[in-house]
Formats: sequence, C-alpha cells, structure tokens
Amino acid sequence: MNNEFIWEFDKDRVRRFALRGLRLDKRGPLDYRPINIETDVFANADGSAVVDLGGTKVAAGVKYELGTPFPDTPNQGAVMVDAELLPMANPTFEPGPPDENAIELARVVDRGIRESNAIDLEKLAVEPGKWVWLVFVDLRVLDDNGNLFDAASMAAITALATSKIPKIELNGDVPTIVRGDYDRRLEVAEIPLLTTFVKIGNAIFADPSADEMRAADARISVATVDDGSVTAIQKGGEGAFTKEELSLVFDRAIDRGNYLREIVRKVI
Amino acid sequence: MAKKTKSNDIRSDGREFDELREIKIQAGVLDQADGSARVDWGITMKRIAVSEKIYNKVESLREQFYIIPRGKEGRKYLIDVPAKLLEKIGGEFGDYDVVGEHFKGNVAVVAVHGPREPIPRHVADPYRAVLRFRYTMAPFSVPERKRPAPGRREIEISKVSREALQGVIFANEYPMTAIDIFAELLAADAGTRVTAITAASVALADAGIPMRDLVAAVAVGRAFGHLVADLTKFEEDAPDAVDFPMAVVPRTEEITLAQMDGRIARKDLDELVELGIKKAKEISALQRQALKEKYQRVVENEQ
Repeated sequence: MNNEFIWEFDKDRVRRFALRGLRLDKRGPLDYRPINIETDVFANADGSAVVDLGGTKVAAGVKYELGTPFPDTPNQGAVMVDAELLPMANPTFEPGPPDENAIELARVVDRGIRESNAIDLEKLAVEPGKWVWLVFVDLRVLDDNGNLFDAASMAAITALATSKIPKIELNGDVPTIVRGDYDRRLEVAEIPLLTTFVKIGNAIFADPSADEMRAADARISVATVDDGSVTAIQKGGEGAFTKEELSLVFDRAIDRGNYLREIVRKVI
Repeated sequence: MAKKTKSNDIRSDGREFDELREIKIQAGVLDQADGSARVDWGITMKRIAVSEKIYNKVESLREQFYIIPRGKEGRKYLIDVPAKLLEKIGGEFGDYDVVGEHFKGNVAVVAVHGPREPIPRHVADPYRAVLRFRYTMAPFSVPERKRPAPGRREIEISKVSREALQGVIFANEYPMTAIDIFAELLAADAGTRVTAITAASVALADAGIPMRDLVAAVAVGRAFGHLVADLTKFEEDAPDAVDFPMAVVPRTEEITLAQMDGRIARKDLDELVELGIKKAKEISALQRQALKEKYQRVVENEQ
C-alpha cells in the first residue's frame, strides 16, 4: 500500500505542481485540510482530546500528579509535554523509546505553550515550597498524514484547556489525590498554536500533507497567540529560507493561527 | 433501605450476570496502516443529583454496587451510577435528577502493517510470515499516570495476544515477511487485552490478511459470589474476584488465549469456559458487522 517507490513518484509530482504554485489535493497555498476535534474522550484522563487534521490523528491526555517543586522555582508547578510517534501511525516509525523526531515534536509544542504563559504556574502550587501540581501532557500520534506539529499543538492545548484539577485530601500533612473527583478547571489564559509551512521550490504551503512533507526542502513551525505575538519557532529540514520568505511566513502564521484558534475555541 | 439493596441478585453495574458491556467496533479508522480498527468497550455512567440525606446514605451501597459519590457542586450532591443500575435500583436515590452521562471503559486503536519486509531482516522465516504484536498503554489511560516505556505487564500481554492470533492466520502464504500488529490502549477499565485482541482480528481482516476465522476475546470470571461475563474494574477488585480472559475461534470453539487469576473451584471452570465461548460468539457477530459496514461505506463512496 505505502511504499518508497510510490513516494518517489509522488514527491516528483508534488514538486512539479509546486512550480506553478499548485497542490496535488487542489488546496490553495494557505488552506488547511478539514479539522475535527473531540474532547473529553478518555475517562481516566483529567483532560483529553483527539484531533483529526486531514487524516492526521493525534490523541492527547492530561494527568495531574503531586510532586515537589524544582529548587529554583519553589512556588511553581510544572507542565511537561511528552510525545510518542506510535509505530502504527506511519510504516517508517519504529517501536522503541522516543527518537529525535518525537522529542523535537514534544519540545516544540511544549515551548509554544510555556513561552506564551498560557498557564500560570504559580496557581499550580498546592503548598508553596513543598507540594505542587505536575501536569503531564502525553501526545500519542495515531496516524501520520503530514503536519504532526499543528495537530499535536491543537490536541495539547485543547486537552489542557478542558482539563480539571483533581481534589486533594490531607493525610496528616501529606496531600493525596482523590482520583476521579475534581476541584476546578485549569485556567488557560492563551491559546498558543503552532502553524507549519513547507517550502517546496519557490512555493510556501501551509498545513503540509504527508507527500508535501516528504517533497519539502524545508519546514517551519511558528507558534502564535491572540495579540499576534510569536511564542516559538522551529525550522526543520535540510533546505533554507530567505529572510523575505521568513517574513512572509511570520505574517501568514499569525493569520492562520487566528483561524485555528477559532476552531479550538469552539470546543473548549 | 439497606435490606432491599443487599439482595445479591443485582449485578454491581446493573447488567445481567452473563451480559456484555456495550461494545462498539469500527473498522478502517486509520489511513497509513494497511488495516485498522477501533473498539470502545464499556458502560454508560449517569451523573445524578440527589438530596444531602440520600447522599450520606449511599456509602452503605458502595460495597456491592459500582457507585461513585462525586461531592457537592453548588447546592447539588452528585453521584455517578451506571445507567443500567439506575434502572434497577433508582428508587434508592429518591427524587434524583440526571445531570450528565459519560462512557467508562476501554478504548483501543489497533493497526496492522504488512505483510511487509521484516526489520531486522534476520527475523524473517523462509516458510511463513513473522507475526508481531505490540500492546501499549497511553500514560493517561489509567487513573495513575503510567510511564510511557513498556513494562513487564505490557510485554507479557503482547506475547499471549500474538499467540492468540497466530494460529488462525495463513502465515505460510507470506514467507520472508512480517505482519505487525500495534494495539494502543487510550482508555483502560478491565479487559484491555481482550479488547485489543478483538480489535486486532478486525484490523487483520481489514488489512486483507487471510485467516480461517476472526478470533473474538472476552473475560469471564467471578465477582461478589456470581459467575459473570466481562468484568469491570470494580468487579476485578471484588474480594472473591476471578478473572479469566479467553480468546476463542468462534467457528471451531477452540480456545487460543486462556489466563486466569483468582481462586476458583474445579466445578466452576467448565461453566466459565462455556460462558466465554458463548459470549465470544456474540462479539464475533459484532466484528463481522463492523467489517461489513466499512466495505458498505467504501462501495457507497465509489458510486
């Protein structure tokens, strides 16, 4: 069904189309594929979402744990993003501990959220200096039809924004979590979202499909928030962008970010 | 009040003792895999609001029934009760209001890749395809976050699940190849291995792998003094719990997975095996239905 010979043909076709500014699936250069987001899907998660971005499917789940704060930030909780490129998602993904691609995905999603200050980490302190909330966001990539970054970023922020902080009971002076019982929703002040573009020849396309990802010279992901600030950038691939191209990408990232935020806001 | 509900004739979630949970099977849910399936397998919980007086009394019901007090929200006292239990013992809750419902159970997504070139190559068998099964749990699938790396439990389940399916596949038609099955549990509430195996059979068929039958799997066992089919987590935690997951080739009634833990009298075992076979046949019908629906969809899209 999928094999590298067909991929080579498709790569060629994608590049020939791109010369004329066209895409194989007839989209305009800035068009996103259809997006569907499910929330509150997994009963044991404290928040969850499944994003389907044109067939790219990413499941995200949030779990709260009590832990001790980092010594340099005694009054702050922490949000940690982990990602796994499950071998089911793409015939080229192999079983095993997260490789460089999975780690890059998790870290870029993490940076977009962290740098936007979407989550007030001081509000995650349970007993300052002693007990804080550690918020784990786990991303499970189920089906890779291109542009994992944007799908993962939507899944992560949706799962966080719909998550609830568990209730705590005091056992002596040690707080313990009452599983399944919730205290309040997590406040999320911003909706930081990644928007990804690929450069194919001279064309720049948003929301790359799987064959566009393979044909691309380079990729760039930009996280933006409502007021047009940029909270993370990550370039990937062996090719390069000119400064004019970068400037263009930044403008488009803000516009496309606003478009994605509208979709996410409808479900949170 | 207590007297009426201590009656041992009602199952902890209101099902009949030999009744399966709700099982929804979808075939062909992923694009990149050669075959795939998703199975949602669990019960519907209703959230009800009750008076403070009743709320304070439910503690006495919790030993026998799967009821979870959810505390006070505004002026309401909330309790989660299985929908089927509510139908049977609704009277216990006085004048209650249903304020919500959610699904509590297993969600498994299974993908099949192959037959394809095996990596590493030295595992290739010149006489038949190599079958591999990888069962993994998402960290958020269980109440306490699970570390992402596979543990001993997942490795054992992967092995017995592979062995449950191996015998029905005509592997000798694909020498020098590998058939990889990846099962990801996104939500877990007892019976995850049987959910994964049931989904894997559908994914294998969806991938077009020739098999002599669709393996169906189910757990049977005992909880609170009754032999039961398809235990919930609450039942698995019963003091007298016996958990007996089985995989069955429905047409021949062969058993391809059998594991048991608990302590059970010899005479009850035959009955449990019978029950497992009967229930597996019901699941088998759902698997076939899911595959038919998928190919119906394909035909309709082509017209």
